[in-house]
Amino acid sequence: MKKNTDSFNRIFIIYLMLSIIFLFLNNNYKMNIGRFYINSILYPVQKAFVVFDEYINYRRENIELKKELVELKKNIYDNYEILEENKRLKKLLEFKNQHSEIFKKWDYIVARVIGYNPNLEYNSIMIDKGSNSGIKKNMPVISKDGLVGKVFSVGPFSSIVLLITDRNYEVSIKLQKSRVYSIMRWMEGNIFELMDISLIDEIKEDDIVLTSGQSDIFPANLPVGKIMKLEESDKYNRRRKVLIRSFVDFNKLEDVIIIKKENEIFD
Amino acid sequence: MRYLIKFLGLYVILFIQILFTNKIYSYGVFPNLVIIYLINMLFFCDRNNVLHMAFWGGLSLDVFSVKYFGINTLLFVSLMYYGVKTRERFFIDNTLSEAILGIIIVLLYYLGYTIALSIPEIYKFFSNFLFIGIPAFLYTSFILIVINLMKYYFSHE
Repeated sequence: MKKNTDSFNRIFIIYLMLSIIFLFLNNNYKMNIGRFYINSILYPVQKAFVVFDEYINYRRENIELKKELVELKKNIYDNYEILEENKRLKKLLEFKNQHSEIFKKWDYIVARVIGYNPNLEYNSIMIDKGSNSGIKKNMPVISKDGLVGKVFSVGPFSSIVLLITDRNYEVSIKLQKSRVYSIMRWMEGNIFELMDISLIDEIKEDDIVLTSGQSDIFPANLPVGKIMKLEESDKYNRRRKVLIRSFVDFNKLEDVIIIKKENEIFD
Repeated sequence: MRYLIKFLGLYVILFIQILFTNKIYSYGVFPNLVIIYLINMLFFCDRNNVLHMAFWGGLSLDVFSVKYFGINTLLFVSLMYYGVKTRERFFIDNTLSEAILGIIIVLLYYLGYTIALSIPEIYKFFSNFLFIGIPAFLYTSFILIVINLMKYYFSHE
């Protein structure tokens, strides 16, 4: 044990002395050159780690940049949507100002189209306003361009609007210049046909079609469309085929106005 | 053979210390993994071998250090000598005592290192110790405590 302790102390003293010598050789030029060369041995390994580290960092940065790009693209699309919404709402406002007589008489609600049901039993759309917003069945629905349809069914937070493009829907209209009253029925796309127009009726090309006001649902003078085509259909029948193009593009409906006109007869 | 593996382990830790210091750098300080390894070897190695490892570990660390060649060698050799003597005198053989001895060694190491750092301008010792020595001591001690807890957990498994 004593021998072991002696060797331990001896080793300690030798190492201690060497350490002190190293400390004194701190500013020795040859010593520093030696350190430099030993350091150089590790340089390739260190370099490899740095390159690997850089690669990892670039990958991380790349992922971050991709995320940022997606975020920015989303922002651009969002801004575009806001811009488009702004344009639509402006047009709605213009429409409201143009038809101030209707909007003075009845209150109205602006709603967003949240779904299309063109292939279902009824040709309809779903809007984001329901009975909680004061919507009731058979209230007329218009867009910035013209007549859209009527409220068909009402839920608390949403409603279904039956479009005038539904095959069973008929709308009572009048021609603005010709002063002819008739019934309009959907044909295809946004084309409608006027029913029972005789050859005696003087119909002018490009005449504007408005709601007649004779129905209990739609108020008078809501814009519907424009005469598109006049055909001498049947000389014996003495009837004329009149086609109307609706002002509304039913495939691009986004915002609609529900006129709070109550129709208790149909409720 | 076992001693060789332990010596090899020392150099693995040394290279980790040199190559990955920037990865474990936190709030301007990084732990000294070599001293943690040496403290652990204090309880696993023969007393002479502990001194050999302290000398070569310190010397190797000094080669790759920028300042004061020999300071790590001197501190490691002295502290391991002190560690061996304390361990034998107080018959330290449980995890808590090992951890306490380890923390004392780490504290003395950073005290000595900060004195060496402050030698040209010794009046800077207190600020150096406060802002460099103590954070590094806390960081190193934290790792040492974690290792001791793991040792304790696995020894009682």
